[in-house]
Order: sequence, then C-alpha cells, then structure tokens
Amino acid sequence: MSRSLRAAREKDAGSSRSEQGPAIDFAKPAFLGFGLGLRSEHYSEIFEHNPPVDWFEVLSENFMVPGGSPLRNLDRVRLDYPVVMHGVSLSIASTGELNWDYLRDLKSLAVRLEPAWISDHLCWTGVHDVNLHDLLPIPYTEEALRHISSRIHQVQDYLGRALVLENVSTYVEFSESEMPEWEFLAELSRSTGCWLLLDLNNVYVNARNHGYDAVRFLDGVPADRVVQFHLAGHSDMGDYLIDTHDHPVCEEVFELYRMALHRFGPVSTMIERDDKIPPLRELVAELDRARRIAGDLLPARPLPGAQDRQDGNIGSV
Amino acid sequence: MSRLAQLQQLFQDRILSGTPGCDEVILLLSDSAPAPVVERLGVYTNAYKARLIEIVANDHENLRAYMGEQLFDRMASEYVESHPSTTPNARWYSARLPLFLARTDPYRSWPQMAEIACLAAALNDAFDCEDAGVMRLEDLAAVKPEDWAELRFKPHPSVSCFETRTNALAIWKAVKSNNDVPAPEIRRQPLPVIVWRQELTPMVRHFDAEEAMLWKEGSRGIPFGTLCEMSATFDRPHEAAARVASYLAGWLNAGMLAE
Ligand SMILES: [Fe+2]
Repeated sequence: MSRSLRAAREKDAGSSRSEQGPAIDFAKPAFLGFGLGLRSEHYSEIFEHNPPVDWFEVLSENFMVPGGSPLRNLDRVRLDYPVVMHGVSLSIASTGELNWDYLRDLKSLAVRLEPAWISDHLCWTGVHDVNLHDLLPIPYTEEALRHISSRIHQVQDYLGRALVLENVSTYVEFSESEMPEWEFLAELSRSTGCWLLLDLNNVYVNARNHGYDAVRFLDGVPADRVVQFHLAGHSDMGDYLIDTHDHPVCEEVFELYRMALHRFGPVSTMIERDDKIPPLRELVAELDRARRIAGDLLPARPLPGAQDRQDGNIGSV
Repeated sequence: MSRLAQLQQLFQDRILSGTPGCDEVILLLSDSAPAPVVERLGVYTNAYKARLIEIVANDHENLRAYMGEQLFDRMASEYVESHPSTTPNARWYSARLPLFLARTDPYRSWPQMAEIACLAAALNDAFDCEDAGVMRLEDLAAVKPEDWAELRFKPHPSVSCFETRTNALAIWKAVKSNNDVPAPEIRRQPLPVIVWRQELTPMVRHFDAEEAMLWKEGSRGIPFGTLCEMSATFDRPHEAAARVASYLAGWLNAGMLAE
C-alpha cells in the first residue's frame, strides 16, 4: 500500500468505513431531469436569471483547486441547483497506479458539493505517471475487464458510492478485442455495480467510425443500468467523425435519443458543449428540445420541468 | 507485464513520439473500419500536442500576444515535447514554463519572456489559491501602544514576491491593455514585484527596494519594532517608523496580510 493510500484510508477510518468494511451506496440515483454543463462563461446569466435548467454537470478537475473564485462561484450555483460531478482524469482503465492524491481531492470536492453522482470515463489517460489528457481506447478483452473491475471496486470502496462511467468516442479498435463495446460496458456494470452514463453522440460516432449499427449498441446495454445521457455535437471528417463537442446536437443523435428513451425510459439528460460555447439561452433552447422529445415519448411519466425545479420538486419522480 | 499494460505502453509511446507511418501500434489495430487506420490513429497523435499547446496558450495569453502566435506556438510545442504532463489536472501543466524559457535557447536570450511567464503563473496561482481571512487596518486599532513593537504579520497565501531584472511588468501591462509595448530593458537594479489576490481578483504591482526588504523580513516573522530599526538603517532614520507604518497600511488595505 502506498503511503498516500494508507494516509487516505486512515483518514477515512472514522467516518465512512464500518468494521465490516466500506459502506458503499449502490442505490440507483433518482431522475434529475434536464441539465447542462456548467461553464464559467454563463455564471452571470445563471446568477441573474436563474435559468430553467434542472441541474448542472460540473467538470470535477476545474474545481479541484485550493480556493478563490472557482469554488466561490460553484458554491453559489450549488445553492440553487443540484449538480453531478464529471471527471476526466480518473484513468480507471490504466495499468498504472491509481492516483490516491487525485482521489482524495475528488472525494473532498464531493463532500463539499454533495453531487447526485460522480462520473468519469471508461478509458485510460496514461501510464507511468504520465497524463496524456485524452480519453484513450481499450481492448475489450476478459483481461481488461478483470483489471478495470478491480480498480472500480477500489475506487467505489474509497468514495463510498457507486461510480458512473461513460462510454467514450474511439477512433481505433484493437484487433484482440473479444467482445463488442456494449457487452464490455454491460459486464463491467454488472460485475461492479457501477452505473452507466451513456453518451449518445459517442455511440453514434463509434458506430460510424467502426462500421456498426448504433441501435445494436443501445440494445446491448442493460436497460436498468443507465442513469445519465450525454447529447453532444461532433465534427464530420468524411470517413470518420471526431467527438469535438463544438457543434449543436445533430438530427441523427436526436433520433438515437428517441430510441434510447424507448429502451431506457426517463434518464437524466444533458447537452454537452465544451468548445465554441454559445450564449446560455441557445443551450437552454437545445435542452428544451430534448425535454419536449422526452415529454412526447414518455407521456405516462411526468417529467420535472423548469417550473418543478423552481418549486423545489426535483428528483421526486 | 500484462498484455493490457503492454498495449498501453506502446500506445502512449506512439502518442508521445508522434511519429507517423506504419509501426507496432498500427499492427495491433483493427483495419475493418471505413477510414484508414493510420488516419484514425492520427486523431490521437495530432490531438495530443494541439491540446497541450492550447493549455499553455490559455495560461499565457499575454505572453502569446507579446511573442506573436507563431513564435509562441513553436516555443509551446518545444515545451510540450520536453515536458510530458504528470499532473492529473491540466491546471498545473504549464507550471514549468518560466523555468523552460529561462533555460532554453533561443528564449533565454530574451529574459523578459521568462519574467512575463513568471508573472502570469503567479497571477494564475493567486486566482485559485487557498482562501484565508484578511487582516484589516481596523484589526490593529485594539493593539496597545506597548505591544506594537512585538507585532508580527503573516502574508496572505495568495502572495508571491519576486524580483524582475527586466521591464516585464511594464510590457505585460501594455500587452494586456492593448497599448504600445515598450522595448525590453535590462535593469541595473532588480525591480521587486508583488502578486496577490484582493477579494477575488489577482493583482500585481512593483515594490520599491525598501518595501520589498521590509516585506521579506516581515513575512518571516520579524516584528514591527525590528522592521522599524531595519528601515532606519535603510534611509532617513527619524522617518523610519512612519514609513513602515505607511507600507503596513498599504499592505492591509490591499489585503496582502492574513488574519
Ligand atoms: Fe460525453
């Protein structure tokens, strides 16, 4: 056990750990409604106009800093909105050591924010203490499954809650893969209790990049394991697509969203935009489209809307 | 080494070296997809450098404006090649840029560049450093006259104080406000700079030599009485206490001292 790990575990001994071992919250998170990624460009609009967004997704690393305005602004957003934490550096699939300093900071941010859940990506970002700051592809093998499962268990033990993992866009596939991506995701979720964040743009991008039907992907993911959808835009390079998150959501991805709603029911949905960030009202309009699509398709289950949020009824579905 | 570890090692080496063409990694990849595998692997190798250069550029936009995009991007590309990131948070990736500029040809022959980078890094650090209560002028009202000599001060955690040998701050200010940029100058006497966070805003200004000396000594716990004595040896002795008091008032008003 590394020194930092032991220190982190000792620190926890009094709080979340019982003598029987870690108490992990495996309860399925409640439906939150329709959210957006939190962007500093939009702070003033959020603070002044309290826009009709049910929740915000917060990029964990942006707030894993000691203090100052980032955390001040975040605390202010948190007063009015539920949040979920979304990280990019967990590197759950890496064969390098788990970074316990990173996990300690992640956990203390979670204590501050009380997010509805904590997500990251099913990928690796580097080995040998290098971080390539990218979401890198894995071979879908039994070996990888065993390795990643054991890391998910360790992280869930430490955080005291089930993780949420997102499928990433990939541009290459390893020849030695033994199963399709959806089967790998399904197996991982079953064996560890982690939930899934299904990025429908990534499903669409991968289907195009690797030449399969996106619907097969959806059908291969267990219907009860998905707690969040990402909708996003991409760049079309002709023969392949790049997951750039700098465009509005395309029609094909909205179509996939309809199919996903049929299969998965009401799932917390958000628009992901990381570049060429438009004014907040444009994203709210895009989000309202998703809200309408879901409202039309799932009439039997009332979805919380902006009004509900202001009345404080969020998560009551 | 497990098979997965082996694959990751090869893949990472390939991204870090950025070499195009057919190699061991290509042989591991399925080529059944519509686009050629070399082109798709290129998405990773190209994105790597571009992304890290962008991180450096975002942290140092005034230096980029000063150097010009072309020279800056060439410099940033060399930085990326020689500095694989080891931090999980990209926020600290550019931390070694000032040192890189100070030590690497040809940039080290333009010392204002390293100093501008140093200023930006200090301002970025002040922006999100830990929070701490600030000591106010009013807090000193209750201090009894006989206790003043033993009064000690603690810098706010956002403060960094360093010396510049060039007119880097003047250049940085001109670039930032879109004014005419002065020619670089090397000074005979180093010019101290102080960076701190006032409320939530990172600030920067020069210290004069005496103020810098007193700040340095005060920061390491030297009490007010001794600071006055030091000041007396620095300049007109009969005005020393008044000068130290006025520096102190300035520090307190600016929020440079912690509770
Ligand atoms: Fe996503």
